[in-house]
Amino acid sequence: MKKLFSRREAVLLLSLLLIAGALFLILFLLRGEGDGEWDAVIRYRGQTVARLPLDVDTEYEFECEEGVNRIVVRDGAVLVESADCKNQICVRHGTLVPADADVDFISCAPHRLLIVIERRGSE
Amino acid sequence: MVFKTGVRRIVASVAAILFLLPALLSSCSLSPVKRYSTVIDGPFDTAAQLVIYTEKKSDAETFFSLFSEKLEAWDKLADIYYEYDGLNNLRTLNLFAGADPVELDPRLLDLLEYGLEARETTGGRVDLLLGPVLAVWHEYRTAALDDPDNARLPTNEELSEAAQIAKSSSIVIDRDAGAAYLPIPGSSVDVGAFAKGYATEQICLELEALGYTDFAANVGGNLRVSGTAGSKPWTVAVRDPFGGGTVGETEATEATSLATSGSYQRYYTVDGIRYHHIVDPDTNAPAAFGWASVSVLTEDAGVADVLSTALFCLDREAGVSLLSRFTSPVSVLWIAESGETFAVGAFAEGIE
Repeated sequence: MKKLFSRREAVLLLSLLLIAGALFLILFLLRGEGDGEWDAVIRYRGQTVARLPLDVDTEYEFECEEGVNRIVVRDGAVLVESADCKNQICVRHGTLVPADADVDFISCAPHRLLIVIERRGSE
Repeated sequence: MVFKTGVRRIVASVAAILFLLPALLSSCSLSPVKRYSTVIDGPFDTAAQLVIYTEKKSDAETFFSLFSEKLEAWDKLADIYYEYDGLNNLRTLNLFAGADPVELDPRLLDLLEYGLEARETTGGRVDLLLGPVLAVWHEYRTAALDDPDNARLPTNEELSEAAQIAKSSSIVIDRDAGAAYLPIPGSSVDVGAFAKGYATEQICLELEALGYTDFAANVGGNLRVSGTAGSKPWTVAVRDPFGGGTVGETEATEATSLATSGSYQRYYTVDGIRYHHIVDPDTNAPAAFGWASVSVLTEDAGVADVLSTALFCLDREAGVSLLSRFTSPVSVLWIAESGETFAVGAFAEGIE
């Protein structure tokens, strides 16, 4: 029986299939959400003043003419641990996590401070 | 020659299609829809977060600026503390109580009518004419925030005097004249319990009518979503009043608005006792039904705002009976100070 492909053709076809498979895999991975790539974005008077990676535990003391907010990133979440603002609503808000990115934020109206969650590289 | 015969051609074509497939699929799955977000600082003494999934950045930018403009307009109209040049707002209406009708923007007349309806539906739990009582508490609360060591409570005389004015007061809305009038001197409206939710709903409806969809707006805790979050449904959750995280995570498939009334964020402390900002019209004191928070998930952001406040001022049984008056689906999550939770609707499935 005559062979369907020559050796050269078989190699060509196989490599095409392999490349196709690899492309699939790459696109699939790119499409996936990916974990850990989130920042807590600190905004003051409408301007971004800091981006704190949520995967690095850290403490950030935010100071402005209105006062001080002590912002803490711990275990993938951000919160205002203490503040010298009048109403303490920022402190009472509790933590923000990546799941809050689209639907929640921390606001300290007296200090005109906002904390939102954003994907890294989105700005 | 490579791929000379018919069979080989077919096989080669199949291989080529397989090779192209990822590219074709990727153009669907890696759709050009992107997430854009912004934060508006200031309106309603808080902030608003907007997120939209769309193809064009310019569409997102227009959406943000339209939303921002409309929200700012609402903020000024519904303001009872500040005057703005050339604008009659609710502060103007209150200042002219017992004196003159005040011409108001038609949107404000809508808001006031909505407030009267809410007053009716909730059996007075949400009462826009409770202004005088709320003003007394507001004065003491803000004084306490400025000087916590000298925090005081309003006296019974002050509160009952204010309550008497509130009880005897009424509001006249004259659509033909485009004006409203508070006939009783000293009476005042306070729309704090529902204005944010109502305004959010109106703005979102206007923007949806312009063709915008797949967006979420959180206006100072009043969440309203539209469409989907790109390719998946919006997920909403209720903040845990005792800790950092969230509880009651739910997909917002049909219901699109979430509002929470709670005692855990806005309060002041006198002699170690917390006095929160949601006033029970029966006692003229902070509502004491044992709730840490009450969250309402339903289609309309105005309804969510009204209902969360009303339910915070009712026990569970009375609350459930109030819910039966609403025709659209309403999900509620009550979180008691004791830590107990009660849920109806979508929250009942999400809570263990």
